[in-house]
Formats: sequence, structure tokens, C-alpha cells
Amino acid sequence: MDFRALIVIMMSAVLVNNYVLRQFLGVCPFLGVSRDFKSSVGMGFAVIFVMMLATTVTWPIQIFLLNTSGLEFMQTVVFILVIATLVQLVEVVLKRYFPALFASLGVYLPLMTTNCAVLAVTISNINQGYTYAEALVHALGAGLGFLLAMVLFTGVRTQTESADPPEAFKGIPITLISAALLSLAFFGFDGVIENIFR
Amino acid sequence: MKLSKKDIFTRGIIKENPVLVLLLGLCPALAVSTQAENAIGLGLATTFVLLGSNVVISILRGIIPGRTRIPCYIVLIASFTVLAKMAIEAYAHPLYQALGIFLPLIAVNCIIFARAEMFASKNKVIDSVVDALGTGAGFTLALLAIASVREILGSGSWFGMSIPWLEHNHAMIFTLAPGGFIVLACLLAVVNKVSKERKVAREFNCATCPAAEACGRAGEC
Amino acid sequence: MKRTYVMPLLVLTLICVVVSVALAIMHSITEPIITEAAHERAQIAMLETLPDATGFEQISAYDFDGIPVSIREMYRTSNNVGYIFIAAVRGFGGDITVIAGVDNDGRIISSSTLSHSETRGIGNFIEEEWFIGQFIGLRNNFEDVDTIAGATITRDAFIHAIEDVLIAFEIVRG
Repeated sequence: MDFRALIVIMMSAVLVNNYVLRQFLGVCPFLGVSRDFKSSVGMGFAVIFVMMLATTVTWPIQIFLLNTSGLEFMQTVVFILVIATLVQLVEVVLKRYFPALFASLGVYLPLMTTNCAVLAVTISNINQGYTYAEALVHALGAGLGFLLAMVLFTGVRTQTESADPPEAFKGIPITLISAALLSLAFFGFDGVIENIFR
Repeated sequence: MKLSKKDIFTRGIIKENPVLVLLLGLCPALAVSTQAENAIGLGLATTFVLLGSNVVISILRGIIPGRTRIPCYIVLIASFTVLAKMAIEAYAHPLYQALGIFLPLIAVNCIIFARAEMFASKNKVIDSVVDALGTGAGFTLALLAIASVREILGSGSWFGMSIPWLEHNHAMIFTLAPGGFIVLACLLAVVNKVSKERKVAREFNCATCPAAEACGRAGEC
Repeated sequence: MKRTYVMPLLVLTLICVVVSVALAIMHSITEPIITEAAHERAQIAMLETLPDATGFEQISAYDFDGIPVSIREMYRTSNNVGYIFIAAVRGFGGDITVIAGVDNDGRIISSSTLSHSETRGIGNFIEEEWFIGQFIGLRNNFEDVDTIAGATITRDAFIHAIEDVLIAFEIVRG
């Protein structure tokens, strides 16, 4: 297995092609749940967990079921149903056996079904032709990138809350401007990956 | 409260514009709005899915049981998305390539889910059709507005037609991710300024969340 | 009590079945159109790569030993003016698909990028003439191929594709 390829996929998903800041995937939870540190970390870990779990299940389904039976066109429908079912299952399991974990992550789980970042990870794993290991690393990287963006953005937001922007910009507009600046900052990572193994 | 057909239609475009007022479907609105043409393409595709899901869910509103309605909606919406995807791949390949992953992602666009849950499941078929067309038009117009600003400033063109002077003096940042955030922020600020009473939802919370009812945890998030 | 579980599941299952049938029908309608259109686009790309060719015949990789795995499709020309290769290599953001035309002496006549997902503004130089033009007439020695700063993975991937094409050419020509 090419270890270098895995590192490149990982770093690329976390820094360079960050799902939220570069690809606009998962913008809604990014703006909605980033008001305090505790909830953004909770949301971040819930996303990592669901992305990994969804990839674990959807990759074999695509490769061994859909591709072999010529049902590739059912991909979107099947993946969404699988993610929705998984989220339900995880909720039940967490509630019963890990109440402490459920208390911190449980709130965010129902939001996962309509989180476009989760579906996007599973679909792009297939589109990019990743192997199983690569797909899992990509899912982990995408989730970590989401967590990183959430945590950084929470820090920025606590500052803008106390600022006094023009009346029309109060609330969401100024939040979006902050997001733009953070996104701009991530452009600084361009080229980092390409030069890691020089 | 009974709304006339005209009210249902215009509500989706202005008072409850999904993107610029309700702040729904921001991901595709930001990602696909680098070119006006693609924005129209995604807007129409989304309108088609919205129309299909609204009609079917409205027809089946007496049959779909309350407890499993969410998975039913998910399956129906995803299927219409796949139908749209196959049609676009076959008949409009350049658009298919431009939309990329955001075409299958129509299936998780919360606007469609919100209309299914809040309107189609409670109203007659005709009203649901009007609601879908209004909301779809609102989404498409909002996308077109964002995309026009980004394409004109970022690429120096509009619908692919180059604009004198700007053609050679465009600011590439508007086609990149930060430009998307900035343009949306400015448009929201304009909406805030123009409409005195109908303010943009100031924050995201359960009151604006379409999944609130389904979530069963209203108030916690 | 039992009924409250049976009915919802029955309705959900029925919806899934109806939906699957509808999608299968739509798939059977659009599939031939999609394949046909892809074939046409490939023909156009091949003619742009080797404008002198009058026709193309596909060569199977199974008939030869040692064809690099990156080579997806190979064609010989009916009037024997050269060969066409389509190679897919892993770039920075995903697969880069490259089409290249080789003359009978093993020189690159022209090459272009069919699809890629490299970072816009940094890696998409592989679509541009100043980059791909550098390969015209070359048979080996790609070290001097210029790129823009900080995009070595993309450059190396493209060169890798071209090298694989030339390896495949040597094998196919025999």
C-alpha cells in the first residue's frame, strides 16, 4: 500500500480542499452550530464519526453490490437511505449503551441525514476511484477538516459577536464575511502538499 | 389562513426566498454560482426535483404514514434527483460536468425537504405545484443574482459573453471560495437594508431549521 | 398494535419498489444516449489529436504483455499515421485523463487533458497550450518540461502519463 498516497489524500482533504472552506460542503451546520466551542467540537466529532461509518458501509455496497449488478444509477438513493439508517441505528445504540457520549453527540446526529458533506464524501470516494483504505482516509480527512474549520471559526465568531458592524451587516452577513476571510487564509495551504515529498 | 395561488407563488420568490431570506440551500448556492449559466441549470434541476417531490408527496399525503414519512420523503426526493441527473447527463453533458457532485447533492438540499414537510404534506396538489414553482423560481433567481455578480466581477463575462474592459481586469477571487462568501454576505446585507420588516433570519436556530419538526429536539440545538 | 408497524413499512417498501422500477426504466432510456455521446466526444478528441487519421481501430491491451496499468484505451489509425493512447493517472485532486497521439517514430504529435480535478488556478495549467505544447516532438527526457511554482505533483502526473503512453507505444508497435 502506498503510504505516501494516503498522506497526500489526508492532508489534501484537511487543508487544501477543505470541505467547508473550499468546496462549500456542509456550510449550513458550519454557520449554524459554530456559536460556542463545546457545540462546534461536538458537531465536528459527530461529522467525523458519521463520515467514517458511512464510508465503511457505502464503499463495499457500491463496489460489491451496485457495480456487479449494473445498478450504479441507484447510487444516490441507496447511499442516502444507508446514511439515514445508520444515523438512526447509531442514535439508538448510543442512547442505550453510551449515554455520556449520546449527551454530547446525540443532538447533532439527526442533522447528519441532510448534511450534504456526508453524502458528498461517500459519492466522491467512488468518483475518485479510491481503494477502501484511501476512501476511509479521505473520510477521516474530510471530517477532521470540518472539525478544524468549525473550531477556528468559533474563535473568529466570538470576536465578531462583540464587534459593531453596520446595521445591515449584523448577524449572518458579517458571519459570512468572517467565513470568507478564513477561507482566504486556507489558500495559504495551496502548494503545501505538492511539496511535502520533494 | 387561506392563501391565494398568487400569494403562494410570490411568497417563495420574495417574502420567503429560500436562499436570501430563509438561508436554506446555501451549499449549492455558493458552490455552483461561479457562472450564471450553471446557476440557471442547477436552479432548474432543483425546481424539477421540488416539483416532482411536492406533487407526489401531496398526492400520497393521506397514504404516507406519519411515523415513516421521513424515509419516504428521502426516497422520493432522491429518486427525482437521480431522474434529473440521468436526463442532464444524457441531454446536457456540459452542464452535467459543470455541476459535478452538486447534481446528486440536490437530494439533500434542505429546501426540498422543508417544502415536503411544511407544505406538500398538508396541502392540495394544485397548491403544492404552485408552491414548488414559486420556491424553485426563488431559488433560481437568488442563484442567478449571486452568479451574475461573481461572473461579472470574477471572470469579466455574463452568460459567457465577455464584457469590455472587465474582461481584462477581472478579480479572480470572486470565482474562488472567499468571493462566494463575500458576495452572499453583501446580497444579504442589501436584502436587510431594503426590507425593513422582513429581516433575513438573523441567526440559524430551530425556528429557521426545516428539520426541526423531524428532529424532535426542538429547542435543544 | 401489530398493524401500526406493518402499514408504515409496507408503504415504505412499496414506494421503494415503484421508485426502483421508474429509475430502471429511465436508466434504460438514457444509458444508450450517454454511451453514444461519450463515444462521439472521444472520436472528436481523437481527430483533434491526430488530424491526418482517416479512422481508428481499438487495440486490446490483453493482446500484449506489459502495457502500463494507466493505459485505458489504445487505437491504431486506419491509414497508419500513428497511434492514439488514453491514459488515466492519479494527480493531486483525483484522476487526470490524458489523450496523446504518437507518430510511427515514437514522437508525441499532440496531447491534451480530457478530464482532471486539479485545483483551479494552480493545477489547471495541464489544459493550457503553453504546457502541453512542450511535449510536441519529444520521445523522452521530460525533465526540462516547465511548470508553475508549487504544482509538481500535477506536472509529474502528466509526465508519468506521457511516459506510460510511450512505453505502451513501444510494446504495441512491436
